Amino acid sequence: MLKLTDNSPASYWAGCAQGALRLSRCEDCQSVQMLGTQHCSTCWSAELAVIEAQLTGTLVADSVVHRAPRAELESLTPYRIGVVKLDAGPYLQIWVGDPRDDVDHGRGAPAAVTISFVSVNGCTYPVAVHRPPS
Amino acid sequence: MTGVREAVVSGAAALDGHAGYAGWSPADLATRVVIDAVRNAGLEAAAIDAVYAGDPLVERHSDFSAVVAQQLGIQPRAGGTVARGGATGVSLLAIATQAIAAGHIDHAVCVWADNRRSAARGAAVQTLAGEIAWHERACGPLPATQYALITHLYMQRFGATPEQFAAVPVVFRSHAALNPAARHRDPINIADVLDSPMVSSPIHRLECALVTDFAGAVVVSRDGGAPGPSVRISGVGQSTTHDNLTAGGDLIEQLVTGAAHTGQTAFRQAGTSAADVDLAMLYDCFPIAVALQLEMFGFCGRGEALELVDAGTLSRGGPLPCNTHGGMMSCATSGMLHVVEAVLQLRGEAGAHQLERRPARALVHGNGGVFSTHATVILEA
Repeated sequence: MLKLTDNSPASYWAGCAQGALRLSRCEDCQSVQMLGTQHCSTCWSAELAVIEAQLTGTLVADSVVHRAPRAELESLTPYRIGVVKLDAGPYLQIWVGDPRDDVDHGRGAPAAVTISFVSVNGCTYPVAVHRPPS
Repeated sequence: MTGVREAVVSGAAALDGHAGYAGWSPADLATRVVIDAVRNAGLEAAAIDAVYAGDPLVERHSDFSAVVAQQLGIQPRAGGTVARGGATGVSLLAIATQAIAAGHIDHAVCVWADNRRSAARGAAVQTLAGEIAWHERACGPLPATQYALITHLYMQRFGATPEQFAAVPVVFRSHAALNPAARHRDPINIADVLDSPMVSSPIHRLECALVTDFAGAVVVSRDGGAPGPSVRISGVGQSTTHDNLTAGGDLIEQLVTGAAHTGQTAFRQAGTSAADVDLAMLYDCFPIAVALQLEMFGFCGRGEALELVDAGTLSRGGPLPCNTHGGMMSCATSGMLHVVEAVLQLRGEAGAHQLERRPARALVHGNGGVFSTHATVILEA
C-alpha cells in the first residue's frame, strides 16, 4: 500500500518555495533519502513519509563552474556548487552561496553550513551558506 | 580456471578520431568499423552470431544492435544494446565473453560508435548534463563538475596539487603525438594545462575528455574459431555502485569506486595481479578517474597515484605504459578505443605508436556516470 503523500520532485520544489527542505523518511527503517522514489533504497519498504529536514549540514567539497550547461544559467557564471552532507543524512549537490553574487574564492570546503533558499528564474532553490564559527 | 578463458579477441578496428564523419549516422559508423573488424579477424559475415552495441548518445533506437545487424545484412542469434556510460565499451566485451563461456555463441561483434561532434556539436555536453539526477542538475553542474567535486575531495584527503593532476594529460598527449589517428598531437606541458580555461574548478579544459566522433569494434570469438592472430580474454569484471553522485556514499566518504571489485574479479579469473600487467588502458575522462583506477587496481597505494605519473611510470618507456593511443583528452572520445588499442599493442600491430617492448598483458577499464558503472577486462598476448 503506497502512502498518499506527495513524494514527487514537484513537492520538493514546493517545499523550497516555502523555505523547507522536504525529504523522504522510511517509516520501517527510518532511513532518509531524496524525494522522487516510491521505495526505500535501504529496506525496500513502500512506507515512506515526507519530512521537513533540519537545515544544517557540512559542505564536504565544492567547485566553481565557469560554463553553464543551460542557457538560462549563463548569466550566473561563475557560480559555486558543493556537496553537502545534511545532518538529516543524505547528501545534496547545491549552490554554495547565492549564485547571483560574486564567487567568494576564499571560503571553501570543508565547512559547517546552513541551508537557505534563493529564487532564480522563477524557481526557489536550496543553497548552502557558511555558518559563522560558534 | 573459469570458462572465460575460452574467449579471444580475434579482430579489431577503429576509425580515426579526427576525421569528422559529417553525414554519417552512428549506424553508418558502426557498420563501417564492424566490417573492418570482421575482415581483420579473417571471418565472413555469416560467422557472426551475436551483435552487442553501445547505445549512441545522439540518436534513440529501441535496440541499436538491431539497426547495426540490419545494415550488416546478418541475422544474429544473440545480441543487444548496452548503455553503461563510459563503461559501455568494456562491458560489451564482458557480455560477449560470458556468452561464449556459456556456450551460446561462437563469434560476437562488439561495437560502439557515435557522431557526437559532427551531429551534436555543442549538444553532447548538454545531453550528458541533462542525465544528472533532477535534484542535482537544477543548480547547473557540468559533467566535469561531478568529477571536479571528487577531485576536490582527493586533494583534501591526500594533499594532491593541481600541478600533479595536470601532469596526467601531459603524459597522454605525449603518447598521442605518435598516433596519426589522434585529434590533438601537439606537445603540451603542465603550464599549458593550468593556463587553459577553467571549466569547473579545479578541472581545466585540457583536463577534459574531448567530444569527437568515434567508432571502435572488436570480434570476440571462441578460442580457435578464427584464423588470424588473437588475444586471450583472461578475466572480466563488472559492477554498479550508484547512479548520481550524491548517492555514492563510498565514493564521497572513502574515495572507493566499483573498480576495486571489477579489478579483483578480473584478476582472480585471470590468475594474475597488478604486478603482472605491463599495459594499462584506463578510462581518462578526467585526471581523477585515472588516479582512482590506479589505486583501486593496486598499482599503487592510496594517495600515491599521481606520484606514479611524476615518476614516469605511465609513460611509453615506463614500467606501466598507459593509454598509448593518447586517451580521451587527446585522441578521441570513447572507452572502446582503449580496447582496440590494447588489442593492437598486444599483437604488435599499433604502427607508429607501437611500444618498443611489446606488452604481454593489458588491463582495460571503463568507467561510466560519476564512477557509477565499471567494467574491467584482462587481455593477454
